Amino acid sequence: MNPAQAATDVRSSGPPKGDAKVDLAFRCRGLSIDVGDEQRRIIAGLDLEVPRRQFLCVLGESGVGKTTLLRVFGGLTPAAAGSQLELNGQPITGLPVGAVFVFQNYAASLLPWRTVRRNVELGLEATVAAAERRTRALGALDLVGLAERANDHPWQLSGGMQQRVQIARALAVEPNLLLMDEPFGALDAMTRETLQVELRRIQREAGATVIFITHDVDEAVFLADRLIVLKGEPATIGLDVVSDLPVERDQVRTKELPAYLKLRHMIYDVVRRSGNP
Amino acid sequence: MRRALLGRINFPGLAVIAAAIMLWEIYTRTAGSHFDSLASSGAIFAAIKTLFLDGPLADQLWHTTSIALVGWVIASALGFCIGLAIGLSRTAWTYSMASLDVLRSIPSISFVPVAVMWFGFSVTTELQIVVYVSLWPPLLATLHSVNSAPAGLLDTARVFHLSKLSTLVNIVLPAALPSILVSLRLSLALSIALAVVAEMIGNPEGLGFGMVFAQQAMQPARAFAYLVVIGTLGWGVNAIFLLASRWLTRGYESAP
Amino acid sequence: MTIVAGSRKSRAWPIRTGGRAPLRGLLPLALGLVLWQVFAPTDSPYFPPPSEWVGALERLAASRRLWPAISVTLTSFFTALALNIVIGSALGILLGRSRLLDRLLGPTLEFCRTIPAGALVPVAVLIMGYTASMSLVVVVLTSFWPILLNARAGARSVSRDRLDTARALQLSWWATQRKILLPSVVPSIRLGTQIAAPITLIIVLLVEILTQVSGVGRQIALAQSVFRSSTVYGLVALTGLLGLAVNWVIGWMGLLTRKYDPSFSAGVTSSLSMKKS
Repeated sequence: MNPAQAATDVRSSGPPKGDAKVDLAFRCRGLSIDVGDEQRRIIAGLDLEVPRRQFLCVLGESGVGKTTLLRVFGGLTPAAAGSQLELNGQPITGLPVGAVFVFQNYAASLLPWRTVRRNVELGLEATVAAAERRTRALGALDLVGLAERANDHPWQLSGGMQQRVQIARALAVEPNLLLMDEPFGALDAMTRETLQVELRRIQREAGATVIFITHDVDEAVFLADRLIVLKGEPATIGLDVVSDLPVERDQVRTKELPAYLKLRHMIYDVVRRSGNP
Repeated sequence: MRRALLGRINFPGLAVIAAAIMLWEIYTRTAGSHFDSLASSGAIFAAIKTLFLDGPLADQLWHTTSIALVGWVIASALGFCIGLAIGLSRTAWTYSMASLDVLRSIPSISFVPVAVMWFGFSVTTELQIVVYVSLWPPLLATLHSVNSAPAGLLDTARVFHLSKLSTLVNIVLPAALPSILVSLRLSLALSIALAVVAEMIGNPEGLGFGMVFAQQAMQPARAFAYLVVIGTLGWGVNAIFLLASRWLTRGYESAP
Repeated sequence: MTIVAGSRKSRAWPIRTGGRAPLRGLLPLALGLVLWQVFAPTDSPYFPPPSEWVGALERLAASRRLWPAISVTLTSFFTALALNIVIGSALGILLGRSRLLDRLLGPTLEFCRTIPAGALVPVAVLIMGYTASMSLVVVVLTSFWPILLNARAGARSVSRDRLDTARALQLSWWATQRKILLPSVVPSIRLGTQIAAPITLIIVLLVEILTQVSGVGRQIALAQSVFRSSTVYGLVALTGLLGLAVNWVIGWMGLLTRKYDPSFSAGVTSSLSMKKS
């Protein structure tokens, strides 16, 4: 085991053991990431296996490397030599087909000159014919609850709606893996809570595997089937725990459950032990 | 629809223009009447009418407008293509940008005597001048904006595995459109301005020539008439283009 | 089986051209001049080689016509630019702060702005004759617009908070203009000046070419009329140098006003706060 991991108290149950043939959507081994001119190592020797249909939340303080990690998963940033990444059992080189990124800054990634529907069709234009594209786009919009805004332009929609359009766009290509980089970070609290509930529903209905980055502990505990905390410099997995919360979750009742509070407590313990206030 | 249009017209502003015209009329007929070189508003309008109906104004207007427009179209196409070529290829940019920077700091007006020297007093001179000067704004704008596509959009293109061509057509060029349209409007104004200048120096036809002729013949009403016509031409063409470019970018968040 | 994901395939495209253009880019220009020099016969009427241009300029200098011309052009330029800044800023700020005035004068100014400089010259000559003041009037009236427009935009967007601060401190009208409004608008004025400077130079030369009163423009027009092509080319190159010099001076003067930039003060503040932690 990694000495850095041994130093932090890893209270975990990790991915389900005993079933060696678990269908893995994503897996990495010995993942290391160097950034900057000095090639500073921010992630060292990370091992991770993500089963299909799991909603995995990755937590960590700002600056620990969550976004960079996600970008590496999505092929947008290269990993250091010696890293191994697999998507659906296929090694990842460059940009993996089947993984889609959802950015925090929705305004910067939606095309303002296209309607909502045409935005959602963007990922399908190379591979799918026009009629089927339209159907799939409208289907994805329906899934996120925006079917009747299909002919509006993004700037005519609220922030929460624009983010939902981005999610619809990601879902339209039917990805194996959805990589979400603090997608609700730029939204106000109430919109965020609504979208969190929506996202869980969407994920279940679409059967998607999600890796979701956030620094908000409550958001992570609410959303996740499994939680990972990144800690340290260079960062490694400080905590890896499967959530025992019920599948159906609600913003009020779920947050009153003892299991919720216990999970939250566990996480804060790990996060706080870094020595930063 | 009609009400929305009416609401957008600036009536007080137009009233100011009308007032200015009337005040000028009054001034030139009273306190300024001893200035031979001024012409009253009435005299100017009369001169316009005469020149148009009995004189060469119609032909001259047609000449200047058509040369300016033809030159502008050629310059825009050329500027766009060159700007695109240099903007998209790192090699091309590295080995030509500095030269472009030097060339473009030569004041464009200096090219006028050179063109006259090369092509003499002809339509070719006029066209060459218009094309050379109007080339720069679209060239530079295309070059710059093709390199400045927002990072978020480019990341999106990569996430969805868009090919280079698809990225160019669906992301880079639409993102560059507002900036290119502004440069085209600017170069349109330059085309008209330079056509007029070329006609004053290098090609005895068109509005520029008409104006110099009136000035040398010491006919202020006619000179002012040409000034008004040229000004209106520039303003009108600019306004039309502005409407067109607003329509083209109607989906965008903020029009140019 | 699994592959290193450290490839440099994630190359950015389209290219980002930040910073100065590399000097290698001068190659085409240098090459062109060298070829011209080598292949053009010395006595070619249309295309004399660059060495001839230098000779022509030297002869012009020797006959005491070059430096006075340059001096006239530069004097006109700087006088006009100074007037441009004063008039453009004053009018621009006025229009920016008074919606009423802006609305009233808008269409008139819009029309005047599009009048080409060349078209004004004959009328100006009729009224004022071939004088330096005529030239100045034409130059200023046609080249101060960028400063006006930018100053107007800057004056319009002075933050409410700053103006409210002035009221809270009960500053007099003049003190408000001097201490709050003007400094806020300085960056816009500077931008307008940088745009207007090359235009001002162009129109100074234009008037000189059209009216042939004095200055570098006159020399070019004269040389062209007697078909002294090497003099023409030499003078054109000279105007290029003037253009570069002007840009450089304006840019350098702009640096003096850097302390008024919002980004500058933001940089100072953030470096202060970084020192704290």
